Formats: sequence, C-alpha cells, structure tokens
Amino acid sequence: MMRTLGVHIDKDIKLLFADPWALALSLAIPLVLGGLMSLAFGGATDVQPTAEVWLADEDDSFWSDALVQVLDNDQIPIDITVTDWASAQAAMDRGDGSAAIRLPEGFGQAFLKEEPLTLDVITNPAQTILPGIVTGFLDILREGHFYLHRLAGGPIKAIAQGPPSDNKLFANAQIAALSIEINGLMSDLEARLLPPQLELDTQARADEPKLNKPLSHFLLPGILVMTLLFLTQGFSDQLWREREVPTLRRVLSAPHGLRDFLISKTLSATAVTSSILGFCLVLSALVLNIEWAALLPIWMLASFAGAAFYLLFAFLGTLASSQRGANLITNMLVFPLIMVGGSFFPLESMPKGIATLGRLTPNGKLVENVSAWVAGEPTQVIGTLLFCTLTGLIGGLGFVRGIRRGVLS
Amino acid sequence: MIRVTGLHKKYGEDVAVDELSFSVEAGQVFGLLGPNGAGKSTTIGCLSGLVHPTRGSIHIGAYDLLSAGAKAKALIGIVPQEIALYEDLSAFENLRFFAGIHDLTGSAFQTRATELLRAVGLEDRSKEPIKQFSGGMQRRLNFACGIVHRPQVLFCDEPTVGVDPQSRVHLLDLVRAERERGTAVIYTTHYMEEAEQLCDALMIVDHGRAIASGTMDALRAQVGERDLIQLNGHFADGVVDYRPAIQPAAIEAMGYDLVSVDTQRVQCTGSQGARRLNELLTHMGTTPFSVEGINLLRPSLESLFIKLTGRELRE
Repeated sequence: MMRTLGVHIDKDIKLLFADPWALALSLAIPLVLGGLMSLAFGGATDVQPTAEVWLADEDDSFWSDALVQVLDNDQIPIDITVTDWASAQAAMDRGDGSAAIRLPEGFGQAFLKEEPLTLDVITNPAQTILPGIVTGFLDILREGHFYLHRLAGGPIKAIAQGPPSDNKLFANAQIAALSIEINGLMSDLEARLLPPQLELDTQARADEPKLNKPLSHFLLPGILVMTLLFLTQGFSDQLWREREVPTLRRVLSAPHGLRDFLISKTLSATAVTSSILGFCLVLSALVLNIEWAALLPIWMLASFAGAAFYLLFAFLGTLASSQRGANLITNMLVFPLIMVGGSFFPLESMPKGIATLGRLTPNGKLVENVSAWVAGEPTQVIGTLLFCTLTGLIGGLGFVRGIRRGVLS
Repeated sequence: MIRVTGLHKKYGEDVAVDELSFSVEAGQVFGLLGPNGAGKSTTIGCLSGLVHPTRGSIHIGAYDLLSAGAKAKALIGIVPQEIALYEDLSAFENLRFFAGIHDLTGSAFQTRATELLRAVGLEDRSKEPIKQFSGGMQRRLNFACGIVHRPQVLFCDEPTVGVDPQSRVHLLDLVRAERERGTAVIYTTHYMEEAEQLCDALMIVDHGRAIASGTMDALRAQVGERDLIQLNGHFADGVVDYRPAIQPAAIEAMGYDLVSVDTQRVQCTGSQGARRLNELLTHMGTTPFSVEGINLLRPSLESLFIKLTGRELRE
C-alpha cells in the first residue's frame, strides 16, 4: 500500500510542478490576502501616523507658548519641533515634515483682544492626510477662540488691555469687578454644565476580550485559515481534471484504486498546503513578531484541518455534474464559512450570535486556537480536533459514495 | 480466464446490459460488436469493476470480481476509449505511474518500459510531455499504459477510434502480440473489418442484448453465402402502409428474404443475389417505391448485423 501511495503522491507532486504558475498563485494567496486585509484595516504595523510640524514662535508670549503646549500633546497625532521660520521653510522645501506654522509677533495680544491675525501655514503636498490633521486642528482652535470670546469676551479683553495707563497695577475696585464678572460667568456655566445633562456610564464586561493585542495578531489567524480554505478548495478542483481526462477511471480499475486515490490525493494536498502554511508562519514570525514556539502547534493543527477541509470540498465536488458546478458548490460553502468563522472579521468584534455560530464551525474553532497561540495563551484543541475529524469523515465517506455513484455507477 | 453469467445493468428503468453471458479463454480475442449505445462500454465498465452490475456474476481468473475485487483487478488491464493519460507528464512518467499503481516498480519496470516504448515507437520521445504528441502517438501510449503491468486480461474499449491508418495497424499488431503472450482480450468495436481481422470469437450486441455470438466460423455460417441487397430510394407520396406496397410475396418468390422496409430503404438477402437483380428492379418498378441507388454487400459480419437488426452498425 505504501508503495502505491508513494507512486500516486509522486505523480501529484510532478503534476503540481508542471504548472509553476498555479503553484506561484497558491503561494501568493496568503500574501495577497494579508496585504488586502492590512490595507482594509488600516495597516497591521500598529504604528500610529504622526504629523511632523515645524513651529516658529515669533511672539514668544504666554499665549503662544500655551498653543505650542496644546499642539504638542500626546493625545494629538502632531509632533511639534520649535524652530525659527527660515529653518521651518527650509525643512518644508526639502519635503521634511507635514506642515510648518509661524506664530507672528503680537499673536498673544490679538488672541486676547479678538483682533484679526494671520498665521502662516505651509503644508507638504506630497502628503494627503497628515497636513489635513494639522490644518483641521488649527480650525478647531480658531472656532474655540471665537466661542471663548462669546462667553467671556469682556473680562478677557479687560485683562488684555491691562490697568489704566497711569497705574502699573489694577485698582482693587477693578480687580473686584473683574472677579465678580468671572465668578458670575462661572456660576452661570456651572448651572448649565454641572451636573452634566448626560452621563456616560462605562462598565467593562467580565467576558470582554482584551483588545490590547496588536492588530496584526487579530488578523493573522483569520488570514491563515482563509488561506487554508482557499488552497484546499483549489486542490479539490483537480479531482475534476482527473475525472474528465479520464485518468480517474483507469486509476479506479487498479486494485484498491479508490482507496489509494483518495488517501494519496488527500496526502498530496495536505503536503503542499502544509508547506505553504509553514512558509507563511515563518514569515509571520519574522515580520509580525509571532512567538516561534507558537508556530509548531499552529502548523500541525492547521495541516490536520487542511486535510479535513480538502475531503469536505472533494465530497462536495462529487455532487456536481461539471467542474463549474463543483466550483459553485464549494464557493457556496467557503464564503459563508469565512464570513462567520472569524476570517474576515475577528470573532471578538462580531455580534454575539454570529460569533457563537462562527465558533461552531471547524474553521472558527481553528481561528480561536490560532489566535490563542499567537497571543501566547493556552488553548484547548480537543474540540477543534473532533470537529475536523468529523468534517474529514463526512467528506471522505461522501467522496467515496459520490465517486461510486458518479463514476462507478 | 473470463466468465460472465447473466450480466445485467439497469439505470433507472433503462436496461443498458441485458443478461449477457460469455466466456473468454487465455490467448483468445473476444470481440464485442455493436453500434453506439449498444451497451459495450457499460459491459466493459462492469468487467473492469468500474460499474456495479444490477445482477449477474463476473469471474476473472479464479476470482469473483464482485467479492474479491482487488485480486481480480490485479489481473486486469484497460485501454479505454478516451485517452486517459496525464498530459503534463512524459510518456515514461505516465508508464511509471500506471505500472506503479499495479505494483510494478524498480528494475522490472525499467525493463518493461524500455520494451514497451520501443513497441509503440516512442522510445525517442519518452521524456517529452505527451501534450506535444500527435493523437496517434497518444493512442499508442494509451494502449501501452494499459498493458504495462502484463495483465492476464485486457479490455480494449474501441482503442482505434479516430486513429490514423498507420497507428491503427500498429495498435492491432499490439493486440495480436498480447494474444500471443496468452492474454485474454475483450475488444469492443463497431468496425466490422477490425473484428473480422482480429477476433477468435465474438458477440454482437444491440440495445444491451446479445443478438448473435460464437466463433468467427460459426457466425460466418450464420451469415451463409447470401448477399445483402440494399435498395435506396423513397416511396411515392400517400403510401402509408409501405411494407405491403412492395408486395413481399413477389420478392420472396424470386428467392430473396425481405430483411427490412422503411420509407427510404428496402433490404433483402439472397443467394447469389446479384444474378437476379434485374428481375428485382423490374418488380420494384411496379411498386410505389422509387429506386435511386443499389448496394450489394457480400456475406460479412456487417451483413449479419443488418440481417439480425435491420439496421447498419454505424446507425
């Protein structure tokens, strides 16, 4: 038996290498899927883009310094470098940075007195989003300044004008009047804002998954399992070529032909799928910093699941009367499995009902196991092994029955 | 070597093979003749274990195919009607695969492959992918893959369909060589001349049923020395009941046996039929049937088939 299986597998591998384009496409599937998913979810590198801004503070006042502090806040994706205006312009001419801003002399006084003022802003035309963040934030500040003056314009302007020219300090009566006005303003605001009209009560659910892992770790399991489904579906398609040529009839007329054919096809498909998965996993470990120790269990379980998926698709293919029909039937299964099984959207982010359904699919179970291993957490594989074994058994028995009915009827 | 008893295969209500029984000895070529759709390929499918018969028994060598399938299949070689080869593999690799699945590997295979590639005239191109081969070359390799493991029983299902004359001669020689080697061969065809050249015994099937069988000599005796005369033409308008219209009694009085009558053809057999052709044509001139052409077939399997079924083999 082993010798005839070896003959079958040798032939299948030779046929595979006889079509190098198809092989290259198989290898490209995970890379393309990974690339597309990264793009769709805004990149998997977990590095937040930041606008590099050159700022020339020619006013050097309390208020201009306050603006620099506001812009240079960690919560805002803007990184400020204070310099002189000539250096800022030179940097922008070199294409360095997202924007350059000049705060002219008199900025602070104009801010307090609500006088017209022009800020010089140069943006980098080579960038599309980051300069927009800078100008957008300046717009917000401008609007904030407007409303601040609507609320407290009187006291602010009085402070900006300073004490009467004869005196260096405000008179006690003036200080008292300003204090009363500011106090009245605060009381008025307090009545409107405190207590808040809306209260947001945020509570963490006990079963809420931790979302502090990198995006790549969310996406990788789904991409791997999606790759597995597409590859095994593609290999199951080759059964139709054998049926149409029709080498299958000749092979089945050999002793134990059907048994050897099924086992060898499954082993060949699993060997190739495992090799491609192995390549992807090593690449993931290198690029996405997945733990090396996680690779072996992921690879073994995914290879086992791959054999089960292959048998299932092979069986479904026998239900069709043409290769095109077989493709249609397997596609009708692959896409729903991918959608609910956590490949397109992580199971953690799916509605509870759909996620529960997804966790009951063999690929969903596999995604959960792979996710856990990627995160360095322990996971139970018994359920996945049982589901995959059941899937493989249904597929294998169905395939034998389908061949007997279709070719051996 | 092959013993088939009461072989019957139904697809739903359609009977594809109807109670066929025959046996084939070692070193014998047994022909299975019939038009397309007669049930030849289904019969071969049953004999090679690809089609499960509805009832009946098949013995290959000492083994019952239905109960000891693997042992029986080990004795079988198949040359299917279609070219059942891997076109991306070379001739040598195809041979190695089909030998391998019958457990022929190593030096025994190397010797056999060299011998076969020479026999089918492909030794110079054995390393090329066979998709570069002509149809005739692929047919020859198709045959070689069926016999690479030296089967004791060989099923050839119309192996010469669509083959050029040179390759056809080559293939028939290969079948004869298998017979010389002691292989029991079942050969299906609808080419009567092939069957006459090749077969030691044969069975003519139509609609799944055996309509004649025996050795070539026995079948020739059944044909007799009677010529088959085909009168082609048509009946004049308005003739509905056209068989009586040609006055069968008058034709039989001339010594002819009427085989069939339809709107475009009248067929009859007669001993030295050509001699009375004038008399027959004169008679037909008195009937509503207008004769436009005449075929005279000497005694052959073709004429036997027509005599038995009223139809030509290729219809």
